Amino acid sequence: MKNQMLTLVLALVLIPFCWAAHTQDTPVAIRGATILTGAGDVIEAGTLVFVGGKIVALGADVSPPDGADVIEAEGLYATPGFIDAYSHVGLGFSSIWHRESLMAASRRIADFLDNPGDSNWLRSGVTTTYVSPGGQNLVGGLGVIVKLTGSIVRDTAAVSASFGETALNAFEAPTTRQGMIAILRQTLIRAQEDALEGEDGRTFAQVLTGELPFRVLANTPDDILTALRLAEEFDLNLVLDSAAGGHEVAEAIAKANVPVVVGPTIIGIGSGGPYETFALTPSNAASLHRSGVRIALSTAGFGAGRSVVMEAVLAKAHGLSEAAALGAVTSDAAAILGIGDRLGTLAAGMDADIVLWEGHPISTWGETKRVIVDGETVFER
Amino acid sequence: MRERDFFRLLVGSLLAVAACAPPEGGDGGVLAIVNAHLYPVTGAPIESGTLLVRDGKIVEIGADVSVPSGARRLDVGGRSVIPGLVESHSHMGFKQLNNPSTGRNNNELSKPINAEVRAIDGLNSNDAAFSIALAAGVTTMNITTGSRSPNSGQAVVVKLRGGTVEQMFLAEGGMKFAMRADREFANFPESVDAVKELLASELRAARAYLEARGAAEASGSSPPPRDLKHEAFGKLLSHEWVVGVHTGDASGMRHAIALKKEFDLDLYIHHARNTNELVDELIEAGVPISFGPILPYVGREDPQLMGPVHLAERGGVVAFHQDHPDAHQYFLRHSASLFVRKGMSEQDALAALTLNPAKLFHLDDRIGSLEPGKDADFVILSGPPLDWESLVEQVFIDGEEVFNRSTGENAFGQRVPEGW
Repeated sequence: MKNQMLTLVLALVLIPFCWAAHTQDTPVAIRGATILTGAGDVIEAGTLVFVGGKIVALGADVSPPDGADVIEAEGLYATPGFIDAYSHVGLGFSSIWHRESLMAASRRIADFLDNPGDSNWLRSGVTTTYVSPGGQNLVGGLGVIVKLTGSIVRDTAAVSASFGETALNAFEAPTTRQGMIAILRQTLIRAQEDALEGEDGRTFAQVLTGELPFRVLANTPDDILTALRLAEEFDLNLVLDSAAGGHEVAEAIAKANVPVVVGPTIIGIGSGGPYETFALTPSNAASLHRSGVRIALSTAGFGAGRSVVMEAVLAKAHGLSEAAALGAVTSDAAAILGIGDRLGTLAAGMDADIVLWEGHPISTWGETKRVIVDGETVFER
Repeated sequence: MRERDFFRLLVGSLLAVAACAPPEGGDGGVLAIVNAHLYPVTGAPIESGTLLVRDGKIVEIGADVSVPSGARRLDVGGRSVIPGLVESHSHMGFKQLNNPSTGRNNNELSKPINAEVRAIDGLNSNDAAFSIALAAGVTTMNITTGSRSPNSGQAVVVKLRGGTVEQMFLAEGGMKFAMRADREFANFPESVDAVKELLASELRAARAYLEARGAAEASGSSPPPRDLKHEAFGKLLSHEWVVGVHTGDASGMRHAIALKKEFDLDLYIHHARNTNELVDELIEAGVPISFGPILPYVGREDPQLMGPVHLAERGGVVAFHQDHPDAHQYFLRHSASLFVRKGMSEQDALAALTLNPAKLFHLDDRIGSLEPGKDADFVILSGPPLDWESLVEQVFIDGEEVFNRSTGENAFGQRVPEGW
């Protein structure tokens, strides 16, 4: 009853807002689905109502409002649109990294995006992704969060850095891991003393306040510990990316309360490496989660190929619970990306990014039947 | 210890005890896999059956097989048993997991034609990736040289039974062609048309060489000096060897089909990426394909999936491969479900992992299915074979256990890296 009241209040508040923002004003009700909210709740035979791109109500007792378009979804699962917490979609090999200098902290990836929409990923149920610069630069720039329809959710979402083999191989100097970290530490100290000029000064200032998450791609236990050390030294809002070998230092990651965007397990390394990512095993996600680390999953993909849905199925096969695997591509991913107030959970007030599935979404044979982004059906099988 | 881990350990221990129980008289040389969901590939699955193994060979399979007294019994509790997977295209042992600098071993780049170069002479059996391959259920592998030259050399088919390359050797893998122009190197053909013409000219030269040798033998005159390159191409002309052609596009595949027709080659195409529009031509020419690498490059919704689906429907021979390390070996089995989602039958998808790659090398009389007389190479999985949720629990080659998930032990004497 309390929920229904809340729903009603929210609906009354939100509907006028939606009228202003969207031309679409007819409510749509998805009726009879098993609703997996992404935040751990399961609503059997539930109904979800959205208007103008926002969810206004959901529950077992909710009825479609008068005049609503009804989508019958009995026997189907409804989930939030899935989130790939680290990808390169919309980037090309030429734009993914900055060849001129090791450090490119203020390089806005949003400025290099070329059609970040991807219909194959949408069809697979993925609707949102963090687009990261590549791991070749020690500090590669400001990543952007986009929907796979091409719209931008947050154009400067985090600063992405990279420790280890990939960055070391890309530049002639420095020649060592410790050499790279010394450069970064010196830069952070200069930022602390307001000695960094221009855009980099502003970027690192936001890193030091924690306003911008500092994401570090690290694929050995030692590189992970180095990132934790720096985070403590400078009180950074650290997020670890990829984290091959993370299971060996899971306790330390958990203790530091640092979330991990677990890197893709389904990989190919072509001829050039990095070979260190081979330590990224399918049970890494389960190991980290078991140790109490908040995790998201990712593909590091450019689109088209396997989507993060498959990473979730694989993680489940190798020990991650179904609920945790779902969370790692919905609510936990959104929380780690800092967009949990808008995306990643089916709840009133959230974006109407919804996927209907035949078969459980975290399974080999689960299949998308309809994908909705901002209240619009973008794919129907 | 979590409940599930405990259960696994318990089951593992029981299986180990069952497998190691000493024979109590009778036929102790027989291994009986009982209470198994058997997938013979050449026939319909048997929901609850028995597989009998003696001297490394399958001797009987069926729902009503009597187990000889004294046989070692391995009760697998309804788990799935499938033939060992056959990877038709790998660079394992060249580009080594434990040694990245070995990537250069893969391609002989000093000249475009390298027919005399044998993969077996450069292969390192100590690559840690072999252990992961066993954890993936792969028992046989065609290991080939690279694709940067039109002809990089001779491939070798090995079984993952551990030991040295000699001990792993199963058969010659034939030859490798690549319909690919690489302008980076001097004296390499600059277009795919020129690559095809170069290969055709080598085949003609080999034919002339064989004719000259034959004529000299017949007349008693002194033959032309032995030439390893001509001899290797000659084995393609005589059908002693197969040739795998690397190509991913329509023009490359049509060149391969043309070579097959002109020289009556025993030829298959690997990669075969965009076969959707070539289904008729491939079926008409009787050219088998090995599609891959698949994961991570091909997703659930990729239109490329339909080519192999249609080829299999039409009775074509379709194999899958991962091209390790270009794509990770572990996901060969996982790749098959993508095609089933698009309409391929489970039986055809399973054949594409086992019997069909064996056919590419004419080894389908020995491996690739569970039939009496065939090598006892098989995999025990925790559930349905194409489900990602199922894990490979035990692997056998020639009747010997070569991988056991619960103990982490495998035939290469390396522990499988934790987490696989």
